[in-house]
Amino acid sequence: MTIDELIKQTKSRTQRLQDVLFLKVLDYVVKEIYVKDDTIVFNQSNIAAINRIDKILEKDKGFARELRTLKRFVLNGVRKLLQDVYVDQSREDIRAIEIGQEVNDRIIKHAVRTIDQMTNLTPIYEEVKKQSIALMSKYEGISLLELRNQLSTQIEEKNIVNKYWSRWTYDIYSQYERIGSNEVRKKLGFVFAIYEGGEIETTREFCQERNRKVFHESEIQKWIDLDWDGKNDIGYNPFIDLGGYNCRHKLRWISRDLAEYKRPEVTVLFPMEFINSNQAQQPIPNPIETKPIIEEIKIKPTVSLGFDKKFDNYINENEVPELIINVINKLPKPNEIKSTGVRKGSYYIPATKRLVSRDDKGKETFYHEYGHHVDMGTSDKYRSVNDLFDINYKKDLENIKTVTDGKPFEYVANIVKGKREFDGVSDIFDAFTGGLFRDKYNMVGHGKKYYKMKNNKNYEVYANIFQIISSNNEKVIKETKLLYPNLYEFVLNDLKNI
Amino acid sequence: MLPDLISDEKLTINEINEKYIKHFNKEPVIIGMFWNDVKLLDQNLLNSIKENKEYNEYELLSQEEKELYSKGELVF
Repeated sequence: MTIDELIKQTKSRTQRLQDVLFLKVLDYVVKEIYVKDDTIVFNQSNIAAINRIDKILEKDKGFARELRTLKRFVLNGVRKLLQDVYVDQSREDIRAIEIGQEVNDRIIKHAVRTIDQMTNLTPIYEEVKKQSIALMSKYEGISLLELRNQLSTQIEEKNIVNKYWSRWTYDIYSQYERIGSNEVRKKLGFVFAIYEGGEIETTREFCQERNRKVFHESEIQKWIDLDWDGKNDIGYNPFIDLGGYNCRHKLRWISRDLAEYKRPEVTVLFPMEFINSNQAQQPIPNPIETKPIIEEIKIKPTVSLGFDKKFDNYINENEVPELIINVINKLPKPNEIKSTGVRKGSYYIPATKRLVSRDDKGKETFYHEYGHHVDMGTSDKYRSVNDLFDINYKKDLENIKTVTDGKPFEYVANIVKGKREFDGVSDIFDAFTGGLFRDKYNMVGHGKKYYKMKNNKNYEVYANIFQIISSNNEKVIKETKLLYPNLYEFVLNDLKNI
Repeated sequence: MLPDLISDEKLTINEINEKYIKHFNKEPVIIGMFWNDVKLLDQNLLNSIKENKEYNEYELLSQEEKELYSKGELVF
């Protein structure tokens, strides 16, 4: 089965889900909305009823069944594609099928999680609610019949469910197909691939130049450094993204013999000893330093915390790394998340798992407080209070003196002063100075009284590094790694192990 | 308790803090509540000098919050 065939079938299933969604919404609206003189009353009670649509749909057995069917269909599609990949690779090496079965469980488990996260319907519910409330708020009022007709336009004619799905279905199928292929070839020790997929009118120049040609993996890896229209803006991985967005090409991994036959110069360019003297027989370690591709899939999952949507948006609408999103999705959520004004600061209480975030300080503060929650509110022991943390703290204490040429206060002050994005870097330094950086030099930090308290240094370092990783600002991460490399690694590893 | 970084560097000290100490003959009670809002904290200190009323962030907490804070169970 090809990806195009799968997408066609997926579309007909999302269409069915869209039809069910439309009927369920209408059914609910007719039953729950208060109408007077044939006009929907625009009052708090009706707005609240509309705002409950997502909860009602989530509880609706028929709708849940349709959604489950769709998820199962997509997962089965991924399974079929992977089987085809292993069979295809077995033409080069018969061991591919066996190896495929070995790596398959891990890939499928990952796919289950990704599909689950991608089928989060929050954006669709929000769109339906927004449209319904906008229609109800019309000055001249609106009848139930008109609301029905208008919603039909908004949901059915504008095809909102299908449009939402079409954004990621192709990527899901193609990326898992490429991941499967890459995982198997690494175990087989294949380092050559043919760039396949043909050419059509819209084929990018990048793909045209490479189509049907043989490449060594070190050449493929170098595509990271090239630039062309359509290349993924963030986190491009040449082994799974190839020509970029919506690229229909694939890498067919082949044996050295076939590579030498198709491109004779590989014998000179990449002699046997360059790779491994026995690579065709024995699985060899990947000679190129690449992260496991399975961890780099870029179909971004989303978060739904169950409180004000703005908190979800802080995570979903920004460049928050997938690592953080997965951590948030895996761990227990706070019991309460709310906003506060300027009169009081943001805070977190581990005993009640209560998170309060100052509205005007935006996403950065929210990430910081969420970092406290991950550290203090998600397991029996606080993640930042242990001997390993203390060892890393002491290492970084020495490191700071070295990398700042013995002038740490001046160095850090120059880096962070007046730059809000460096608040976390400044506060970690304040922790190192026991609050002196804040109280004596008026820099961002919690101050002496706070840092005199047992373990507050640990808590704040963890929360600040969580905030820094979440914000994903290249310059800030660079400075953090320079000043506090050991603590940064400590928190990063802790998050990866969740 | 983890050790502090010690340095004898000379930087511009916090003038508002100095002004506050000169006025009240004691340090303001800053508990980290506004740790990432230097401007707001400066303004709060200046207001307290102007109004001749000591600045105490601890007093902004409720009784329950004070107890949690003192036990290290409320973090900012």
